[in-house]
Amino acid sequence: MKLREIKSVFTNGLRLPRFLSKQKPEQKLTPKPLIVNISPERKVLRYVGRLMRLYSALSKGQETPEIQAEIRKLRLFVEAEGFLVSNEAEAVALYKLLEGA
Amino acid sequence: MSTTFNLYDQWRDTVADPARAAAVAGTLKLAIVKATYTLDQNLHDFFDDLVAASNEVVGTGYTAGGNACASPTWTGPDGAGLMTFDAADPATWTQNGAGFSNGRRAILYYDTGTATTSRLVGFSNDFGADLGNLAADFSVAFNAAGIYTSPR
Repeated sequence: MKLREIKSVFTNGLRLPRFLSKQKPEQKLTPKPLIVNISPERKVLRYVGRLMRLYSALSKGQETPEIQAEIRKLRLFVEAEGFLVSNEAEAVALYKLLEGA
Repeated sequence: MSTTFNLYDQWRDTVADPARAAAVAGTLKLAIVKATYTLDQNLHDFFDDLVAASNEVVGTGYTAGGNACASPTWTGPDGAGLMTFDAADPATWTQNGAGFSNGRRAILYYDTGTATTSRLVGFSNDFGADLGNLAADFSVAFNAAGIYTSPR
């Protein structure tokens, strides 16, 4: 490492020498609030959101019996609340509708 | 009631390293702890840091270690580049007169069956009051938008 590069670290800290810049990639993970004792209204939104993502997982080839079973369970719950959701597009549309309600 | 969910720094560190992230094993679970748990967001990495024997709630209807959160999945990126980590909600803790009444935080972790290898993922803020299944059913649900997201 050249003296000039060392100086850049210890004087202004703005430019990292190459070996120091090989850090882990920047990650932005944004946790979402948990819901304690969820209300029935929020439960529908939660289940439609989950359904939306599971359909998305299916469309990307992440199909497992566990995911299929969870989709069936969520669809039944959502149907019991009066909503029919049979694919990702319908789930996205309903989610947006409920989110804005 | 909505409560802020946070990630342990050691979990963020694990996820940032593809080799270690791929090695994460176990069943995703949500446990409930009492106010006696002294949180360390920066250093706590495994379930043994919780000292569950003294800090986890105890009561009928609550199984030590908490309830499983089935089929954890990463989905996306969507059109805006957003990826989402989500799982099924843990089963409700059914009301029981001999249940627990002193739950103050929810802890998400991967249970390997051994506390020293069960990686902590995240924790809720203090509920602000003692909660449990003593007087009524007690449930914790993940957000409609998922457990956590990774934007572009």
